Amino acid sequence: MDMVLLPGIAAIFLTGFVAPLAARRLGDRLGVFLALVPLTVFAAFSTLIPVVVAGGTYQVVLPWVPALGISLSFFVDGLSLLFLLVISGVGTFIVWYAAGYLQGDRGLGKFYLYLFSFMGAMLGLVASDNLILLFVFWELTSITSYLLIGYYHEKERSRAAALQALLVTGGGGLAMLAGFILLGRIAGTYEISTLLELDPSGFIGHALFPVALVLILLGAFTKSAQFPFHFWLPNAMEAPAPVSAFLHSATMVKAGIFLLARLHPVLADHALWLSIVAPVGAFTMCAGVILGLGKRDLKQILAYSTLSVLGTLTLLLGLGTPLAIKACMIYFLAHALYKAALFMTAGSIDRETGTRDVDQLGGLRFKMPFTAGAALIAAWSMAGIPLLLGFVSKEYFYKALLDADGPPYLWEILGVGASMVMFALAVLAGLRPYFGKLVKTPKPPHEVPWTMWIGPVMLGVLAIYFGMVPGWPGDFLIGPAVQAIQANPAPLSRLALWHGWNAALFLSIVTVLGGLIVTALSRKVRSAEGFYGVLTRVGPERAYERGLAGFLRFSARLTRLIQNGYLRNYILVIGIFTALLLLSRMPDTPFRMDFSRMVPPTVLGVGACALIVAASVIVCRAQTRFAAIVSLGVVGLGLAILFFLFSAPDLAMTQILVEALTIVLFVLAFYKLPLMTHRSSLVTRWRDAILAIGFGGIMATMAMIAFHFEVSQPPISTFMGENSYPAAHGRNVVNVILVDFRALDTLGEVTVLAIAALGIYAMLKFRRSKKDPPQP
Amino acid sequence: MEFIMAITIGALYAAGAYLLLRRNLIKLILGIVFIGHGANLMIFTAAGLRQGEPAFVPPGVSVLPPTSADPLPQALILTAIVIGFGVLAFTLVMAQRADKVIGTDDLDEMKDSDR
Repeated sequence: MDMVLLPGIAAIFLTGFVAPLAARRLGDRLGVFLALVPLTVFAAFSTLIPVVVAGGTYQVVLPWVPALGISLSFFVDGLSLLFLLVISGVGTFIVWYAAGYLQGDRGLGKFYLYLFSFMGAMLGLVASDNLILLFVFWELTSITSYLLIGYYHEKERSRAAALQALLVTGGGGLAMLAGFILLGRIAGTYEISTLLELDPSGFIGHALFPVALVLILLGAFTKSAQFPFHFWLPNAMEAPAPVSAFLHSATMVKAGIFLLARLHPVLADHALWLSIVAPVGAFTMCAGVILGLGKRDLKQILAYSTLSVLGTLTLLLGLGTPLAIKACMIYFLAHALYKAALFMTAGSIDRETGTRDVDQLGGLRFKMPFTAGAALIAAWSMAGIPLLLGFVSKEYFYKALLDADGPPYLWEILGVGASMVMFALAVLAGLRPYFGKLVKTPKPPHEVPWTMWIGPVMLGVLAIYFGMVPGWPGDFLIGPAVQAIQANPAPLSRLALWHGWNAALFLSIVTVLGGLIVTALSRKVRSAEGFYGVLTRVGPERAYERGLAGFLRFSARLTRLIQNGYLRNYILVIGIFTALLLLSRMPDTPFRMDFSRMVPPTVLGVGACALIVAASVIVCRAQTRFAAIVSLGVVGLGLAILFFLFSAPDLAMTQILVEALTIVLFVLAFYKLPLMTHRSSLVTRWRDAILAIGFGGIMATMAMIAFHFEVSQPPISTFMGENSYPAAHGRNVVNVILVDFRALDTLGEVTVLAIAALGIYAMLKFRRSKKDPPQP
Repeated sequence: MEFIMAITIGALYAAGAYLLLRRNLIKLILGIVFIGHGANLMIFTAAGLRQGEPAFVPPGVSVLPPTSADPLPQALILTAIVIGFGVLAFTLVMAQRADKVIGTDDLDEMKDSDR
């Protein structure tokens, strides 16, 4: 019996739905209370640590669509648990932070609904054991992040950014679904835990495997904002600060990284993996920091540095060596801690000073001491300076690069270069606003409420603690995660702060020195607007804009073409399609003409048929409504004769009655009977006539096929014929069927007629008032 | 006889299709009626025709003789005739209202009336 995982995820979702109700009662204190839920869930998930440290997994399975091999199955191994803990842990601080940041905001309840739904979806995503289930949560994070990014929906930029994030990540998600289905078909299972136990060499040679791989990578790359899909992430900075802090540190963008890590054992053996994933990651890593250096907005700087980190993580997973995977996991944890803190402090500065421009900020350390302290620690970690987790992660990053195959020195040079610029970005985002002379800002700054600094400070404390005793998180969080990713778990050395004088330490020293130089030059770089202007003009975001505009134009044109407002065109399309559909199925039953089974023609029958055909032609050619209506009556009469001749007296009577009523109704409704002049051209009429005769021909053939069709089962009417008199005491079987066997049907029919009668009554009574003349 | 009926069914469907494609609102409604007639006759014919054998249980017997007409298609058609009439009455009144409010029974001119 699962007491941890599903109740935990359900509690998060439930809290979201309770939030709008509780918002009215609790007001601004709402967030303080709500944060206790993710905190409790975090504590509950922590109880799973011993399970995964022992190398076990925790599984929960509920059947969903067993016929398709889709089940609500969840499993937690080291990798999932690391993500679960980071999401719920960072989530707790985010909820607190939002309580302060959005103080007095009228939509607070709604905000928490979105935030908790997103958190729940993220938790579900990382705990999914089924590929299809993972996709469902994946798209749920896309939709909820759309709501979160577009929270300031009255701002146009905000809406556009939200839509962009949704289209890019949602589109990638659809590609991923196709990839999942292919992978599931190739490997024979949709269960991730089963996939991980399979030997990949069994299906990696399949012709469609590369297609599946590329499709899944598309999903991961769009979500994790890898080049060329990176542009949505900086734009998403339109979101409120707590959203940015959550989505772009520990969750949304890390979902792609999670997917790459999750399926690493399944996919990474293919040659395409190394040749796609590593270069894309390396490129994003470098592009992120270079673009970030040109920004003055604190949140933009952080967004581009996030891009770079996502590139780094992708690169490490692309390299795929045991050391690289270990480095990836440490880097992930370190980044989640420091980036969430930095985004929160950036939001605090924005809220208190009214600006996020680094060139207009300075000397805030005495005005906002807690915020400044937290930002300093986080920046320290981001820059990779010793005693913090960021240092440990950078050391392992370099070790992994030194250890990796590939062109000599390429990875090392790119990695060190990116880290140098990252150092400068860390100084910009975490130190610049707080040191130096106090700069006058739009609003006089003062410290934020405790809810807003507690999160960054606690995350900073964790970063210091983990940085000084890396063995502890290494054993309980990183180690099991690495074991989960590696196809063939190999024993790993314990995480440590000090590794002796080695190449990685040397690279770290080089990074710090280079970083100081880049920092000194950074203001000059920022002013190089020409260079960045060119990049913006040629970047892939232009392709997105063009594509979106073109798609909208195309849709408008297509709609005008198909939905042209002419009813008969719709009928024509539907009719032709139906006819083609019928034609395509006709070869299934060979056409037969068995005259021996037919009733011999009778004079009266043939006469009635001739009458019907002749009257039909007259209706079609009629110039007056009167002629048309009379001929319609003749058609009905012909039908009645046929019914009468061939043993259906009830039908004949009903038909005659209805026919009489129809004519009365026609005459009543259109007592003025003007001419029905031909409105279509002669060509159109002939075209329609030919199409109509073709359609009639198909239907006549259908009638013959239906007549010759033999049913293997005894017809239902046998039962009705046998039971009509003994059970229902009626000799007229048709009547018994209507009022007894299918009485409910008849009741429904009566209801339909009653509703139609009501509608007719309403329409006849409805009169446009004199004050309201008909619109032209 | 069934073969001749099939031709009649084809004629009813053809007339229905032709009328549905006209610009006149009344002809459109007539077309709906014709398609309904065609469908009814199709079900009737597909069940096989019987002469002088209505689906009655004769006096003194408790079971319907196997030679008599199939009662189920007849029951279905009966329902269809009545429902068809309901639809027709509703459509007719609606057409009449449309004619009065918009002032035309030309579907092409009605096309922009909801703007």
